Amino acid sequence: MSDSDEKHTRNLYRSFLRQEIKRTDIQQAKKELISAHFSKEKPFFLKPAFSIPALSLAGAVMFALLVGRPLLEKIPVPVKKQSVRLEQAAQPVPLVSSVSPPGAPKALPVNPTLVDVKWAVSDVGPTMVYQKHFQDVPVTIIWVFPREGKL
Amino acid sequence: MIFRIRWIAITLCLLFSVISLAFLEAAEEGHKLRLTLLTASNEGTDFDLDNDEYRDRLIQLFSYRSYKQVNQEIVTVKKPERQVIPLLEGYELVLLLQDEQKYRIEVQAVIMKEGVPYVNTVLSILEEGVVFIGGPNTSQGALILALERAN
Repeated sequence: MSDSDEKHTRNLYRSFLRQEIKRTDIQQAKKELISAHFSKEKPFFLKPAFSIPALSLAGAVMFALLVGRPLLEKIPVPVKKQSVRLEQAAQPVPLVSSVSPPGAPKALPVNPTLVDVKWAVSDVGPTMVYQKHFQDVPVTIIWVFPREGKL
Repeated sequence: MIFRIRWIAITLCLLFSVISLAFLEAAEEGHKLRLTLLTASNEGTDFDLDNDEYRDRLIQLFSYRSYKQVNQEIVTVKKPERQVIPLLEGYELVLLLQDEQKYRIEVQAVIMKEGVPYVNTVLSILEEGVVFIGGPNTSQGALILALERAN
């Protein structure tokens, strides 16, 4: 082979290789080949079989937290102020005395009110819980009558 | 395709997380209570109150002749923090938020002096509820605490 032929052949190879490098379809095919047959082993949590269900579950939990909470809170419907009408007592009516333990069932108003006293106790004397109306609004009063020498 | 689904899931999770955190942060802001501290006695006929609305209420609710407002402040209660508010002459008020719903909160209120509970009560308060707690004797008269929602 003469020098000129060898030079010509070298130019042909170089030109062919350059064109191959530039072809994106060949690059893509090579990447896919490597990805399909020679890819690195992924951690288990990055595998689609695990990550997609896990992320979906996390999303569902978040969604439940966001949407579920307001729905749950809507269940106890508050009573409007206008519908609350308790008879005004001529004399204060004791509802809870100091002898009631905190855990005991309470004889408190049946109707929901603006203020509901779950329980009231005192170490110094009898405790009285009663309501009076002020401008049609029931006002709750908790009053303790301390025994002699107590506080 | 799998990669695209995964990124969409990650983005949704991040979005839900940010929104959830914003909601939780809002919930942790707590509930505001207005505490008005008064003393009542039968010496004189003075009404020294910042809010005239209290004057009419007090006249109807109690039989004292003189009322004096000692202090008024807004207290924020939130789980699980216990708020201790000094009142007068060694008395202090301890507030603890026990439960919260959309319109109603449940608060434990304890007035105590030198470790002895004067009154210990659990109140469920709607947004417009007002409760008066009273009875402790001080040199200025009987101590009356008006407790109401402030938000």
